[in-house]
Amino acid sequence: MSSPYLIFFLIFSVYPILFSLTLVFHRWNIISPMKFVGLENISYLIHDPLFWKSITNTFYFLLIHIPLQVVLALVLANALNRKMRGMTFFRASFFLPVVISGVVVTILWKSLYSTETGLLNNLLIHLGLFKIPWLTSVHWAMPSIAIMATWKNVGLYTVFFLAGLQGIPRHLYDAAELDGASAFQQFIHITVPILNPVVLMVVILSTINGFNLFIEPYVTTGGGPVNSTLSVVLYIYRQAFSFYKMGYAATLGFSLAMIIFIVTLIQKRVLEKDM
Amino acid sequence: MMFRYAKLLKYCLALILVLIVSVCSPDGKASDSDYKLTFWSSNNSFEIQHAREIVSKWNEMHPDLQVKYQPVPEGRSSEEVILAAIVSKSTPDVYTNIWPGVMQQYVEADIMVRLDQFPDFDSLYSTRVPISLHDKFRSRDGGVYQFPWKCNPIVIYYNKRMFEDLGIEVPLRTYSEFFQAAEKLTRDTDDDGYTDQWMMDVDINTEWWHRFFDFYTMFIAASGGKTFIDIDGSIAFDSPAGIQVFDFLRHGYQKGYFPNAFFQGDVFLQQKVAVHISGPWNISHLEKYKDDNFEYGFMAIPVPDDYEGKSFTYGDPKCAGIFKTSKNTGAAWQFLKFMLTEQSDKRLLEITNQLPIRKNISRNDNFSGYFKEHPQYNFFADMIPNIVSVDQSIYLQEMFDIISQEFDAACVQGLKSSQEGIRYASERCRSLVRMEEL
Repeated sequence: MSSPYLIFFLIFSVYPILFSLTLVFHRWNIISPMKFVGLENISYLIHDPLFWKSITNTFYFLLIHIPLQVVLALVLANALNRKMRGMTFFRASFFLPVVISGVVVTILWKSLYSTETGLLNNLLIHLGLFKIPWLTSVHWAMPSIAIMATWKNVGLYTVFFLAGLQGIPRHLYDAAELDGASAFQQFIHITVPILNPVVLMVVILSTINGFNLFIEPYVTTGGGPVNSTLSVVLYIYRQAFSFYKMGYAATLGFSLAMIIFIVTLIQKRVLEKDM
Repeated sequence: MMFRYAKLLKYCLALILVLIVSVCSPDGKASDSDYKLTFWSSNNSFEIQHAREIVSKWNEMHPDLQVKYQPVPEGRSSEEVILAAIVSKSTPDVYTNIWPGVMQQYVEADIMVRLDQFPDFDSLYSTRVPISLHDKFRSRDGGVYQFPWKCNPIVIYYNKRMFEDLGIEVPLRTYSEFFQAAEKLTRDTDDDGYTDQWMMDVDINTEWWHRFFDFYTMFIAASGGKTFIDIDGSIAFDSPAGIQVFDFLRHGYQKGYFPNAFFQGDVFLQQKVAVHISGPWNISHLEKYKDDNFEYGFMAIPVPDDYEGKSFTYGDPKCAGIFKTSKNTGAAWQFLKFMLTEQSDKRLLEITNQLPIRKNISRNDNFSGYFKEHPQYNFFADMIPNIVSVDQSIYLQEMFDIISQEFDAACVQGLKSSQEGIRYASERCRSLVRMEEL
């Protein structure tokens, strides 16, 4: 009974993983024969400043993106968890960016962010403020990408929180109200603790998705300015498909997988402790 | 239930096997008598039309040796598609859209047929290809595996009305002349305190191939036609010419003559910039979309003030080659020669508006009719003897990536000096060249 799954698993999981592991110890440009290089790729990775830069950039992205996403998703879920006219429309609207292609969303945001002709800067000028180099400044580029990525994904996590909120028994709020708790106190002392498992899931999923940051910098900045938006996956992509260094790209890929594993393990331990 | 699954699984496996054998078979041909040459060309509609015409003529003239034509399959780039074809051993016999930058990889992987082994190669090569380009397409082992077929010399387009309104004379030959014009042409036209018309757009995207159309083209012009790697293996851009080009670009960004911004659409067509670096392919685009009052002209790439000599530029050449998967390389060579005749070149020019790499093309009677009808292309045709290709290196893309990073840091962001940028880039490129020699 399990044969189809087993075949699928062997072809699409086990084989690629073993093949990538083999590549870690080889130099291979796809068209020439593989050459065994031992630990050369790993040694190169340790001394590669661009790899460490891409790791730092990705963590910086996560630092902005995850808190922003969790807070925004929670606020939106709260706002959408009530009975009012047109609620289905609002819920669908917030979810819409999730189902739109990432490339399309990014091209639209690139247009909005344009320093000279973008809608955002035109708005700032009309308000008597100054232009912001959203994607062309070393300091602004990564936060701009984090905002863009948050806008794209927040709808999905809002739905998770909404499902969590709808599972909280109404009588807990009624009892708190009788005891004189304010809406904010109810949110902090009832909603947040009960939603903790959902927060854990959202944080872990956001982290994994965040580490896979690729489309946004690839389409908008190409990793610039001065590599300030070079993510690990973009760096892997370049090594593999621009320079055809498959062995080094596999080494980078394995390192990323290990980093994601360690970070999510730490997050799980820390957040579960609070439950 | 188990039995049904097992049966289904067997059928599926059998089907997959049949598909793999039929699709991945290197030749895919039934027998020698049915053998057909396969020919791939670029997949833009004009080239498809040209290729179909040539193939149909060949097939009429050679009923015993038919050619099967198809445009290169769609992909992110034709190089990626060819790579996939190489891996699956399904490359065509003849392909005419080879970018010379990947040739060294192909040669080292031993997948190309050496063309100078054919007895009539030398006569065809010396008759057709300008002497100045004879050695530019030779691989590191001394062999010629690619026949230079067509090119797109990169030049400067300028907006005639903008120049005339301000009384600026063309051409702008030197960097000083260029910046004097830039001072006048970079303006805040609506008085809102922000520049909205710039001298030139230089793409700030750091993707490696963007540097072909700014730093590389300008370095070729400033150095008198050099590429990145000198004959002795040294890094040629680690030189006064390389630093002068970085200085030029850095000055342009610092003074605000080049916008440090991403734009949507064609800023030259939108008349937001006065000049634009591009190849002849841009003419048909401009003619299709320009306003009635939009007029444009061409200039050679500007050079440093102390430069004396000819105007060189990047030629963006494409070559034709024969893959070793071909079962009849002699016939493939005959077909390739048919693609390279004067008549085929004439049709290439007429149908695609792309320039064949051919001696004295603008003065050849066979082509003069075309150039009379399309005078804009004369400027590009005259540049052909002075075009430059790319180095034969397997690390070419990576070198361009390194230059692009330093261009970003030194020129666009101004975080380091031109000397520092060039020095750091050349050190990193030198280590790549060393790796190649290992």
